Amino acid sequence: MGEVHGVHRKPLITLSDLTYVSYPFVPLRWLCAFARLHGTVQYLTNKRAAAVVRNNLASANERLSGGELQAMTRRFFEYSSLRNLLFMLSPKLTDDKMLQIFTVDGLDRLDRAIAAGKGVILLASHLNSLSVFMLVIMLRRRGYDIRVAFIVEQDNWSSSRFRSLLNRMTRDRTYFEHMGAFFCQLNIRPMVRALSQGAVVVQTGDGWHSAGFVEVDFLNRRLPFTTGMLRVAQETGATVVPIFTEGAPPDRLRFKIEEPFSVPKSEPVDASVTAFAKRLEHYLIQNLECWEHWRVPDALQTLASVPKQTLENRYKT
Amino acid sequence: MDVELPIKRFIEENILSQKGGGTLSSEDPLLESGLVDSAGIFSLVAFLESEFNITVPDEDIVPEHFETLRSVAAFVESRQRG
Repeated sequence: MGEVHGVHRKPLITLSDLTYVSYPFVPLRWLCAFARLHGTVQYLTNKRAAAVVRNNLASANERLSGGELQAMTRRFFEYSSLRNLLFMLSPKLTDDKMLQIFTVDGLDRLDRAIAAGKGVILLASHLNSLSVFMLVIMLRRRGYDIRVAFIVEQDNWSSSRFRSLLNRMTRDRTYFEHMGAFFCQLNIRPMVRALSQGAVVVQTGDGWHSAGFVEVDFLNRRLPFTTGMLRVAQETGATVVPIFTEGAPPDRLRFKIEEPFSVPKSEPVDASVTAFAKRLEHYLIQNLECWEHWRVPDALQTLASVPKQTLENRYKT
Repeated sequence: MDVELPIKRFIEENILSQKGGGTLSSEDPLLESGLVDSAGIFSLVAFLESEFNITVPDEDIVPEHFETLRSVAAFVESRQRG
């Protein structure tokens, strides 16, 4: 996307747009094969990005051999490309098609939390990130009031001029609209309003754009994890439902919805943050190449330094 | 009316007390030090609105208005002036 003197210029058309219009004329399995190839090409041609991911994977698990690291790095790019594709297509995918892509364990837990009537925070992560938005779109179609809190105001997925025109012509909605997305950063009032209406609000618990952190044990180091959503739960009384996405795209993704809990007002949130990080670590170790944060140079070191950065830097996307 | 003092008391009694207590000076960084997080800003804004009878629009809840006790007080005074 072009940026000239601070003015964002919309691209005319993107590869994602072409993919979007090609479905269902081109079968999903062909598109998946293309997306995987696209990921492989990125891995082979973008040496710098591949080295960043490879070094991060090595720092997360020092016992991996050189061959294992190369294979995992390649899969990182392939899976990322596949996740992008599936998310891009999700407004067009039927529920049946979606349920060929992923399974959902523990939806009854989410239902139970909603029934408590205090609003629900669906606490996701950057493990297979984007995938959870497919689930959001499917649940919204089934009548769930589920909304995604974003730290950016712009829907960059619907930003090309072609896509804007296509949406106007077909009366399709933007991805933000499909997900019930809203902007929420330092000002959490939009989130509090949504929770007070009984909505399910989706946010990640391993993000770096935060004003508050707690140090936890994670991947054999002490790392700061955001207190953001758990502090919101503490302030509002909303029920927290962790969700993790394990497995791999295109058709082995599994959403694991875990046991709901509340965050007592009388205690610090440290124990809840630590428990979330522990569960994420459990899933991450089994799906190491699926954490989107590995794109960031020296990811774990960068995460460690986040609380020392200015708030402006922390909120940069 | 001293604007800073009631804000200082509110932060010390309702936010810092949850983190082991402490006193606040006018120039202590609130956000970057982690003394006050976004949930703390939420309760602080609710306090400012009721205590000083002002309205704080969403677009005014930005880091620069909440960097220090002094900047919060200056923000309140600017809202009071309209």
